[in-house]
Amino acid sequence: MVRLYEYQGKRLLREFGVPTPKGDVASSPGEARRIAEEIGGAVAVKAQAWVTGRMRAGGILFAEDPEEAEEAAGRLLGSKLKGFRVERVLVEERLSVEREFYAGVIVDDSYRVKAPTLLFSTEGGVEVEEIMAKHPERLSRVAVDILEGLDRGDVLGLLEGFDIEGELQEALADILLGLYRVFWEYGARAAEINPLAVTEEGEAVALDCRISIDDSSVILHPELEIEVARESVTPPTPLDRVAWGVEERDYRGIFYFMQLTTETEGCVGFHGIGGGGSLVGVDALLRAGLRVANFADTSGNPTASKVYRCARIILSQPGIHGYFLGGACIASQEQWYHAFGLVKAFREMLRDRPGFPVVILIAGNKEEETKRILEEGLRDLPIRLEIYGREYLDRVDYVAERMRRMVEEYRGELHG
Amino acid sequence: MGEVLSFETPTGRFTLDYDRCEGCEGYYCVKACSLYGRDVLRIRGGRAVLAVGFEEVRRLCIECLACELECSLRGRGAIRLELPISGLEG
Repeated sequence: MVRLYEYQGKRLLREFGVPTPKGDVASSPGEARRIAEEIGGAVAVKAQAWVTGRMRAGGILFAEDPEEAEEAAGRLLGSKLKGFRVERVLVEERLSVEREFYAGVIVDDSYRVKAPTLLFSTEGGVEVEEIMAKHPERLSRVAVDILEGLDRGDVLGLLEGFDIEGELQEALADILLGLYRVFWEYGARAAEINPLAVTEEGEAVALDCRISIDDSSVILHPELEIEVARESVTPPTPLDRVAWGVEERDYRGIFYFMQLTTETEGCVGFHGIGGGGSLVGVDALLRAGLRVANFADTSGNPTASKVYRCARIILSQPGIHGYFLGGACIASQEQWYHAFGLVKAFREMLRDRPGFPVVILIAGNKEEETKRILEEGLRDLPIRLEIYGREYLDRVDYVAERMRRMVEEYRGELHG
Repeated sequence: MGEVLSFETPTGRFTLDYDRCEGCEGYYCVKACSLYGRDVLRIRGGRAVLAVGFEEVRRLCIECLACELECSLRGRGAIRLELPISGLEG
């Protein structure tokens, strides 16, 4: 699922009548100043980042005037917040908050529910998991029948039992209905307003929000301008975008790619088969003391051409010292397509890298033929090559250690 | 390059140089397509040709890459499959 920034989520909320503080997004200190001037009065300058606990981490600053807003934006923009590079800030009017609630829509996939579920709590400003753990009596929920939808009666029932009446109750009901509509209309996996604040003037406002869109919904909403329809903790790198371009236009099998670092000198390029098997492979490399440049997974019966593109992209990372295909699973797909894809990429890119280490762990359908294709196709390349099959699936650490030793030898040659 | 067989695949382009192919009697590309692919190649007039139309091959070819490798290893190296990657130069 794809996370939206706070400013993007608030745009969606406003579309369905949920009030948010006056404000706009800025990508430069000057822009922040201009927005603060338009707002007039004190403002909050909020780093736009896919992290929680921004306030405690120094990601939300307050400014009394436009000059301070400009200075605050200057401090936040370009900084790293919990490892996340801040490229935008949201400048909003600062409100005087009297009470804080929590509202959210999640997908409850537990056996008995299997439905979108609307949550509400009078404990706003903390994580909903904390509310569930410490104050379950202050959290109410209602599962939504997706055929019947959510109606006002359901929402008012959700608010019963809390000390909320009159106009505030009606305002909150409107907001909860609006929140659910965002969830439904945009194919969200989760949509939360936290805190849902009540100001001293008695107005209910979405002070902060977190909305995640299902990967499959992204194509239906180009207006969201989501570059890569994948979950990530950081914005996509240029190479992530290249890889997404391959996957976006080709539905044959799966190709997942994510750079773990852009400082790839000395790293190993990783290529897995199957999500779970790939995690096993990466973990083994890390335990062996190697640095991993990227995570990649080709599975779901991908074409050889997709595997080829995956390998080309991995090998394009500057300065990598090895290629590890960690297919730590027995795949039902014919693995010879992986062989053809790898052979083509390696023959094109490794002829001029003598001694380059390549370790391949591959198992499954047509395994012996797959290994034959790899051996034959790569035999005239001047690389270090080791190929392992199913008998090594429970010895992935051994295979990773072989990678480490080959990388060490290769580095020795590189440095003379 | 003289006469070629060239067609678009779903995401790339296949090119066979008949000058280089001349004299090959193994037809490794056709055999490879039959074993690993979708039988879009056949032998006619002593050389490999398309077994289906140009529009059909765009749909049928699964880009298994077997034809290129088999020709390179056992044939005359006459086949080239170009698979561009937008945004990745070289």
